[in-house]
Amino acid sequence: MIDFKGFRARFAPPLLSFGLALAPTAQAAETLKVAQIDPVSGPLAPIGDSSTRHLRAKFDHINAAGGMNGQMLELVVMDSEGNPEKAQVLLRQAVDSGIRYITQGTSSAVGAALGDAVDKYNRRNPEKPVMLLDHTNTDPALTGELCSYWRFSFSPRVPTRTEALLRYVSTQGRVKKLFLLNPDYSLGVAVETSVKAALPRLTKGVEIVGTERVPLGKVRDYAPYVAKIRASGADGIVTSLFGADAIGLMKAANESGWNGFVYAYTAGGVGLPTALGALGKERLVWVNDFMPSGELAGEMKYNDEMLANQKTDFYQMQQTYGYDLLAEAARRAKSNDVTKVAKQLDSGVTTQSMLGEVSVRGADHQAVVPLFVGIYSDKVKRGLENTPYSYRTVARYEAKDVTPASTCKMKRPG
Amino acid sequence: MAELISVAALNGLVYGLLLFMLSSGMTLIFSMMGVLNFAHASFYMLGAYFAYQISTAIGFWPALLIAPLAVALLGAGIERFGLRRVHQYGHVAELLFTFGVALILQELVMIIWGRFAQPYVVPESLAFTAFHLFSTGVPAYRLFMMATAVAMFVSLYLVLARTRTGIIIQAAVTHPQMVGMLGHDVPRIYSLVFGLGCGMAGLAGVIAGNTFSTAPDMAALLGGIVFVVVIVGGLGSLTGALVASLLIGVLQTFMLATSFSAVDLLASVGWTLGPETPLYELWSMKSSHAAPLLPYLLMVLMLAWRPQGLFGRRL
Repeated sequence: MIDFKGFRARFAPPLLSFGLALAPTAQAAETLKVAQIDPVSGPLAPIGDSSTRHLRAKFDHINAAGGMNGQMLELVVMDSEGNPEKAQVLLRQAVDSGIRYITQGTSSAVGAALGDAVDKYNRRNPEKPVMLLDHTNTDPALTGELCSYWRFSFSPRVPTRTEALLRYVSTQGRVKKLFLLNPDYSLGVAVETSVKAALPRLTKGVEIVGTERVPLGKVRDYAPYVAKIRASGADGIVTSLFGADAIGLMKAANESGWNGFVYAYTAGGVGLPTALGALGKERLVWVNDFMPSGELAGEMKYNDEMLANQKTDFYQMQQTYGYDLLAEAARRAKSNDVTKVAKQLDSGVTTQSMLGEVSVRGADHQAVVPLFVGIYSDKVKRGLENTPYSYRTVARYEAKDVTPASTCKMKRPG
Repeated sequence: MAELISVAALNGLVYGLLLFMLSSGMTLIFSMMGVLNFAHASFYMLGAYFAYQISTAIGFWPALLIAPLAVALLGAGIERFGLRRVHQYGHVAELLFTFGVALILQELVMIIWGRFAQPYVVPESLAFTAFHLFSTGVPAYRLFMMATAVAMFVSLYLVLARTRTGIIIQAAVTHPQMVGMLGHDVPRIYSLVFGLGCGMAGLAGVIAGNTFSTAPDMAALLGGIVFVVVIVGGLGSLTGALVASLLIGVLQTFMLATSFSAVDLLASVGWTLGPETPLYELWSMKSSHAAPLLPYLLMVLMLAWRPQGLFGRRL
C-alpha cells in the first residue's frame, strides 16, 4: 500500500514553496509569444526549419535591444506538416493558449487557410483579435483578392519579383527567347501569368518560346525537359522550381551543353550551393529582396552571429525587415496590442532596416522593399554553406519602381 | 524535330535501363522468395549515399565496386536476421517487415546525411561530352550508365543460365524442397538472392545518384515506378522487367519531350473539341503533363486485361 499521506507530508511543502517562488518572476518576465505554424517535418521541413532559425536570430536581436515595447519576444514553433487543415487546428490551439501573433510562410495554400481562419476568429472576437505575420509566402492572391486587414505580409510577391527580373533581362540584353518552366501549382502559375503579362511592357524583342509546368516532386531526370527547351531555341529559362527540382534542371542543362541563362525566383533554397558547386556559375540569376553575399552594412556581423548561434547562413532578409517594421508599428502604437499595432500598419509605417529604408503600405499591408537581381558566382565576400559561392548583386531596383499598385479591396473592421 | 526525337530516345533508353537495374532485382527476389520488397528503392538510395561517402574519401571507381557490395551485404544481413524470422508468419508479415525497413532506412539516411541533396558529382574522367546528336551534347557519363546496365544484365543472365550457382537458384525458384533434399542450403540461396537483388539496386544508385541527385526523396520517387515495371513486365520475369522498363522509360520520356493533347490529336483527324465538351480539362491536358501518370495508367490497364503481365506466368 502506498502511503499517500506520507508522500504529501514529505513533498508537498517544498513543491508549494517552489511554486510560490516561481510565480512573481514568471509574471515579471511575461513574454510576447509568437507562434510559428510551419512544416518542421516532411518534405518541406528544411524551409520551415530555416525560417525558425532566422526568426530566433531576429528575436534575439530585438530582445537584446530591450524587446518590443519592453516585452521580450518568444517563438513557439508548431508543426503544420504543410497541411492547411492541420495549420487551422494549430491556430486554434495557439489562440486558446493566449497567443495573438501567428507567423507563417513556406506555403501559400496554408497561408490562405490561416488567413481565412484568422478573419473568422477576429469577426467573432473583435475585442481580442489575432494578427497573421506572413513571412515568406509569395502568392499575389494573398495580398490581392484574399487580402485581409489582419495579415501583414513581409516577402515581395511574385509580380514585384517579375517586374525586377524582366527589367534586368531587358538591360542585360543577352537573352531574346525565354522558356517558362515552372512547378504545377499556385507559385508556378503566378510566375507564368505575371511574366506573360509584363513582358511586352518591360522588354523589347524578347519573346516566350515555350511554357511548361512540371509536376512537383515527380521528376528527377530533367534531360527530356532540357531537350525540349533546346528544341525551342530558348536562350533563357524562367523558373520557380526549387530544391531537388532546381538542382536536377541545372545538372541536365549543364550536361547537354546548353549555355543560356537561368532566371530563378526561388534559387536561394538551402542545400542548393552545396549540391551545385561550380555548376551554374555566372549563369544562374536570382531575383530576391536580398543577395546574401556580404554586400550590406552590418550583414557580415549578423551572419557571424547566426553561424555561431543558429548554425546557419544568414540568407532570409524578410524576418529582419518584417520585425523591424512590426516593432516600429508597436513603438508608434505604444502597445503590443494587436488592434493598435494593426491600426499603425494600416496607416503605413516606414523605418530603417539592414536593407535601408523599408515600409509597409496601408493599402494591402504589404512590406515594400528594394529588389535585387544577383548572379551565382564565386566573386563574393561570403559564400553560402561553406562553399565559395553565393549571389553577386548585378542590379538593384527601388521599391517604388517595381512594386505594382495594390489590388486589395481591404475590409477594415468597425 | 529529328534532334528532339533522337535525344528523347537516348534519354528514354538511359532511364529505362536504370529502371531495369532496380526492377530486375525486385523481380528476382519475388520469383524466388515470394516477397514483394517494399524497401527495394531504399537500397537504391543507400547505394547513392554510400557511393557519395566513399567517393569523397577514395574516389568514384573504388566506390563503384564497394558501394554495391556494401548494400548487398546489408541486404543479405536483413534477409538473414530479419526477413527469415518473419517468414513463418506469412506474406503479410513479410510485406509489413519490408515496409518497415524502408521507413527505417529513410529516417536513418536523414539522420546521418541530413535532409538536403548531397554534392555527389560525376567523376572528372567521365565529365565530358562524348558526341553531339545534332547540336545537343551527349555526356559520356550517360553512355557509361547504359554500358553498366547492359553489362549488369549480361552478367546476371550468364550467372543464372551458365553457372552452377545459377542453375541451383533457378531450381530453387520452382522446386525449393527438391533442391533442399539434394543437399543444397536453400535459406542460404535466399540470402544470396536477396543480397544480389539489393546490390543491383545499390549499383543503380551509385551510377544514378550523381547524374540526378542524391537526396532523401530519391527512394520515394522511384519506388512506385519500380512496382509498376515489375507488374507490367510480369511478376518474376526478367525479360518482362527489361521490356517493361524500356517501354515505360522511352514512352514517358517521349511524352515529356513533346506537348500534344487529346484535343490536338482529334483535331488532326477533323474532330474539334471545345471548352463546352464534357471533361474538356482532361482532353486538353498536355502529354508532358500526363507523363508521370502514364506508368500507373499502364499498370491499371495491364491488371485489367492481362493480370499476369507481359511475360508473367498466370498467377
